[in-house]
Amino acid sequence: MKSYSLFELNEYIKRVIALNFEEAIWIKAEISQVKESRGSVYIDLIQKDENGDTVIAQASAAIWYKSFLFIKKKLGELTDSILQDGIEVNVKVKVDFHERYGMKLSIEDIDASYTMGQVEINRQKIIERLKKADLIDRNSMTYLPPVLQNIAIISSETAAGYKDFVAQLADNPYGYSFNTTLFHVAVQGRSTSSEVTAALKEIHSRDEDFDTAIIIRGGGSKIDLSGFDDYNIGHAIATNKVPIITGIGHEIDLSVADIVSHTYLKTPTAVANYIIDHNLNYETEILSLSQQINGEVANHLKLEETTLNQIEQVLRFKPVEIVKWHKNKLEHVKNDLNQSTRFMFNKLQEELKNTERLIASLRPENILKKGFSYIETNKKIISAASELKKGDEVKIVFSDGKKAATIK
Amino acid sequence: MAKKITYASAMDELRIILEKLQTEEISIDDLSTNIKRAEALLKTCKTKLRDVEKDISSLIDSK
Repeated sequence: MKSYSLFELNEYIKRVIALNFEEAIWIKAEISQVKESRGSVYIDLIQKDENGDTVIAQASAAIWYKSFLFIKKKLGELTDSILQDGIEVNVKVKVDFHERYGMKLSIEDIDASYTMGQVEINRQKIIERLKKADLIDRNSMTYLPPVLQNIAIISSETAAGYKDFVAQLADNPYGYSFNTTLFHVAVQGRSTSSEVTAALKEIHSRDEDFDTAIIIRGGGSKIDLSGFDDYNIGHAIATNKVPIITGIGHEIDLSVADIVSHTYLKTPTAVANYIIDHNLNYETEILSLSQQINGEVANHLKLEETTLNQIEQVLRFKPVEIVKWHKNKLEHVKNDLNQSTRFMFNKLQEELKNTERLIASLRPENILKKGFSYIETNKKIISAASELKKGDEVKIVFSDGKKAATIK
Repeated sequence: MAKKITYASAMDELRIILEKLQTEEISIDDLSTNIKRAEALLKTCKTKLRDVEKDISSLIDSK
């Protein structure tokens, strides 16, 4: 039985590979690990099954110094964004086999548009899934308190965005103080999903402690932010009891995290300004209400005072007026009384005089003076002829004396 | 006078007396009693108003 040495075997494999892979080919894979060393980049490429659970293929790849220079020149800043674990790539590789180091894929070119497209497709898929679960507007319906003071921050403590945010909050010109709690997470790469989701779940369970939770990171390319195009993060934001505000540095497109959040803003600084303005609005409203109340109270008191003063005025003059009126009336009555008494008196006096005169004129001596006379017998006045008979002795009384006479 | 008359009921009573005065429905016999009562009510109202004013300004100042 013929036996080969390991070297012979590997040399054979190398020849087979060299024969079959003369030209570089384009392959699609996911980056699982990236390491840069002395100008070259070492990458683990993997492929997962349809469910994304199990790794079904794996290979080591490298971008050698020269190719790396070429790629960097072509893609610029996107290079770093793409060369992250968890990123789907379409790369042009030369399949190499070394007798000692085994198979290595030498990456010569990267198709950035594929990655961008994958990111977008992934984003759309997640959005669709969240829409179906009716989760898009769920967090925006949570109650955002009028004062935001206890703030949970999901970020990386080394991220520039985090420092900007804390500085911006602390420098607020209104003297508002904030209690911030940092939930340190990776904001880029494979562990973004699990760490951000775990932080969101903890915040959800401590909802009494926080007025809001914010997710921030500094700017980056669309691919950099693709960590936030994640179903688990989206779900944990949407279902959170705490209102979530994002400031994850997007330029044009919104990430899944932005879409399901209560409020999304472009940058961490914008989030800080939003929180400060939110509190300022409340304070302004309170101040204006307090001014309104003061004004109303002052008006009300003034009105009552005016009424009391008017009543006092009436009380001062009205009783005097009433008394005066009664006094006048009394005076009139008195006058009337005097006048009518006098009139009555005069009238009575006049009547009295007339009567007196009449009485005087009727006195017998006065009648006798007028030439009348009367006859008497024994002091009895005779008023009828029948009372006398022949021979009676009578006296005729005149005003100046009596004369005796005999009836014939 | 009732021990703890409210501002509103003092004001109501004042208005009744005032109406009587203005329509001259009041008799001379009752005039003095009514005026004394009105003056007392007026004093109560003014004191209450002043107290409220003081309370409010101290509340505003303590902010």
